[in-house]
Amino acid sequence: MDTRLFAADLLDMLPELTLFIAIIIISLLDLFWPKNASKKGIGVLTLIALIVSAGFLIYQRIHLDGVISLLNDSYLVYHYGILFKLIVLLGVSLIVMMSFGAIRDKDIPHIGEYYVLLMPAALGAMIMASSADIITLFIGLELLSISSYILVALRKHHTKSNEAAFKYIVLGSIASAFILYGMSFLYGMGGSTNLFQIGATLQSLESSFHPMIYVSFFLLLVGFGFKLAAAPFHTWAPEVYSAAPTPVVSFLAVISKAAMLIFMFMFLPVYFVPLDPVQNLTIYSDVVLTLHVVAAISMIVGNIVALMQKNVKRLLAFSSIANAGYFLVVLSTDRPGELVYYLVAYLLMTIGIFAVVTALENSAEHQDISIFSGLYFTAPVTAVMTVILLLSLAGIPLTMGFLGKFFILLGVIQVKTYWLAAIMIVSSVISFYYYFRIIRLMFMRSHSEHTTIKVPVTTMIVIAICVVATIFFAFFPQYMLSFIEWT
Amino acid sequence: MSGQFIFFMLFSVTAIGGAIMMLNMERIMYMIASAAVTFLSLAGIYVLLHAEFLAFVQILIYAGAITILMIFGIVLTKHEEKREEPKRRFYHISLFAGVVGLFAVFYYVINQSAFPAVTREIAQDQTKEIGLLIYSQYVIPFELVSILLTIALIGAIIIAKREGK
Amino acid sequence: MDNMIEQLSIGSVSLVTLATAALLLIVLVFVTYGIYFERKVIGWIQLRQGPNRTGPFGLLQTVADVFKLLIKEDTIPNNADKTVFKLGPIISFIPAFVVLAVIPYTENLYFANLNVGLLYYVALSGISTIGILMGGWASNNKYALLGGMRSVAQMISYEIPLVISMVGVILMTGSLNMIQIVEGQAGGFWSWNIFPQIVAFGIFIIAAVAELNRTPFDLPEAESELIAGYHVEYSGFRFAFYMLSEYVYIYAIAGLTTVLFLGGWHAPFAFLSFIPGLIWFIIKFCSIVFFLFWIRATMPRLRVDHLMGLGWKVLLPLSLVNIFVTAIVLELLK
Repeated sequence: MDTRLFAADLLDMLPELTLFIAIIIISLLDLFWPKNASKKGIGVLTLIALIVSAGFLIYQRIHLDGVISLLNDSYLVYHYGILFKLIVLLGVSLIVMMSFGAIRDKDIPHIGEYYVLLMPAALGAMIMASSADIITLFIGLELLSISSYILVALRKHHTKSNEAAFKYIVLGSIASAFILYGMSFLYGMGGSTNLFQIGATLQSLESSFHPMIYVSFFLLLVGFGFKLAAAPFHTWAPEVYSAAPTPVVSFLAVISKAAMLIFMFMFLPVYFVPLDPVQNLTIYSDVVLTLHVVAAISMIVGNIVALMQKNVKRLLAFSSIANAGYFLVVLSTDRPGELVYYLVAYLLMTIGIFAVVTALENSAEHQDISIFSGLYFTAPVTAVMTVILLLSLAGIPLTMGFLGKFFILLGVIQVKTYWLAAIMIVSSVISFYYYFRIIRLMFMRSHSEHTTIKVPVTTMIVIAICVVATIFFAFFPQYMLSFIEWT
Repeated sequence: MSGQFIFFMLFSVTAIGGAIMMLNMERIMYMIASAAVTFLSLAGIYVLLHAEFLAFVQILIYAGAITILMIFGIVLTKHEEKREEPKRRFYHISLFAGVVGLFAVFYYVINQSAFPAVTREIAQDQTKEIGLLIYSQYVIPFELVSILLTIALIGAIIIAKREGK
Repeated sequence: MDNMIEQLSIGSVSLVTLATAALLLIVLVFVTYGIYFERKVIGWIQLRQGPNRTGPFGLLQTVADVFKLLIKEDTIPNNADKTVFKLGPIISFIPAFVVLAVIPYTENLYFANLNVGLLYYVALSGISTIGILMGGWASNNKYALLGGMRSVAQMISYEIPLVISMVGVILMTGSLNMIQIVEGQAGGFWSWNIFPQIVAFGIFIIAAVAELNRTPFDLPEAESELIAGYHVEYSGFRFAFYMLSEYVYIYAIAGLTTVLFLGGWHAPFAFLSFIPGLIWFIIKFCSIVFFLFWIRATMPRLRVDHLMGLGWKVLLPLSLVNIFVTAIVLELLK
């Protein structure tokens, strides 16, 4: 246990360092950017930085041998951490590409800063995937949160957006405070900021501390639930999703969730505290039960309320709330492989569908669900790809979404939680209704509003990548699973 | 009764009192003054815990900088002095019940946990110890905080900036 | 300080009270004759006599002024926020007085030997600003509000270079303890911090003058623009409190400069060390005070935008560079 950082250790941190340096350089470049030049150049540089960082990650993965730990686990390189970081970088890169066609000067006055801010957000998410120290984890969380507060607030001249951003900041800070309070209990009992040491100390504590362990978990759960947008902590999501710039919404829906999942993935093992050695009971089983309840509420609320939505982004917000439920289920079954698989599936289909939404809402100038009407006749290729993405979201066979949900269901049945499996199936069936409503709209000629729809090339590329990957990994899941399980 | 106990009671009462006043005051200037009282009382509690460095940093940052920033925000912005809040009886009663319940839970939990009495050596030069820790074990979060603050600064500027045209 | 809290008894409490009363008395005497001295010095510089009517050589002039303030009618504007209006001067004065506790006069003569003495000074002196802003806001007068805002903006902007310039000194000593900082400057005037830290000293003095709201940085009170600034509605003893806290800060800053840069109680040459440390402290202290008056009499007032520019664009970067250079040089010399 060495508590000093050496220059050689920086090599292990290259993926993060790349972003760290890129943030500084690109934000300075942005200041001196020619006045009349397109700010897309900043976006291209951002994309390059993200890809370089991902390159270092892959290199690190190839040469990974066990676990690298720096500064008493303040920085960890481990198998699932790298996978999560790759997912984050993939997601942010797709979002940057989507933004080229979607972000317009009249919506966002500061496009340069928009691209720059995506990097600290990604950095925060990456830090959350590479530490077992509660201080570092929390700073990573705040880096992600504060960047996303600003990103949400970037549509300055849009009153609704300002209101949503303000609510998001206030509620988000309260959620952070809950997490911090929960952490302070853990620190008080564990006497260390290292999660592994806290876990070890907690196991040996006498039984008078058990209520406090529960309290710390419930405090953390409030914060986790908020950041994941899981019901009953989801109320911010529809408003923020409908008011924020669409690429930012996809960021919130995918990257924030992914980061929060790895965060929880680090915290939950702390609660393996034996209650009754005879019956083999631990606090963890109560933790799992709580997660199941929250997951069930999220799935039910998300899918049922989505039925009544007329605004596309609100509808997708409730869909993402329902997905938070699925994620909590897979998290509680402690199957990181399935978690990663479904996360990738969710990333591809969500970013894909949001890319479609950006193109449609920019040409229709509103967000009503009717933007989809007659899409098959105005932009047939886009329409077909949208259908595939929606089918994947709904969980129809031959898509990644189906396989992901299927794996989760298997896991639930394996631990014999049949009630949860039933809720999952029923809520998925409910979700068919609203996804199919969109599909039906696309094939109705009479409601067609606009004659031509311009889908920018970069947006098209993003949609195509998402669709192809969704189908490819549905037919050949073994390629992805072997990469996930590769040791 | 030791002096430490008297001071602890004093500071905790003013800290909680300030927080309650902050929520109940009508005029914003009073709210901020109450918040400042809470910040200062917390600093007092830190002194009692032998965390002098933390205490004075708390005063410097919270009572000094943040309070002033809040006052600036109020003096420079328009705000309605009178806030007509709808009388929501049920809402307030349930809120009160919730707060009391939460307090009861925390009180029970903290009171019944048998924390072992640990005697710990207090570092002579705390500032130095904190500095050493920040630059050795916690150097990664420390560096990240620098990015965090920069981002917050950039964000504040671009959100507050008026597009000059 | 900890010992005091842990063994709270009637004896220790009364001892502390007595010492505090003594300090208050000293400070009051200083303020009384500081003001007299200031008026005399400025008078001489401007080829005038200064006060010379009340008492021999005008020595009782300030006493008479204070007496006048105390017996004046205590007026509070009708539309003022009365509670805040009354609180303002008090909140402004208390920190001004409390910070004096950490200034050591000699090795043995000090009130509190705090490990984080310098931080204590910086932290508490910041609170005075709240009092000023409260007074300016509560007066319900636009000049008062403007003065208050200017004052706060100025104090915040200059507090940062002030604190950062101190970091150079802290780096040299490796401690925030004021006594240790003085001990680190023992042995002749060449080892005083003023020489290795000449840049820091310059920044410190400029920022200190700005912190004190004195000419050439007396914009908060710029008579020609703002009548009198944040205390325009104050009269009587409330006004006296604001004046008092300003002069107490002069005392504090002069003491702090002596401790940080001028070697505290140490004699400039070894052969002069037969003169007691307290005398040396007082000499250095008085020369700083004189310096402040001297600047006031000779410098014109800055414009408000220049003021902010100077603080943020010149002093702050300069003080940061100073830290870097100090750290690098110390590392090389190690």
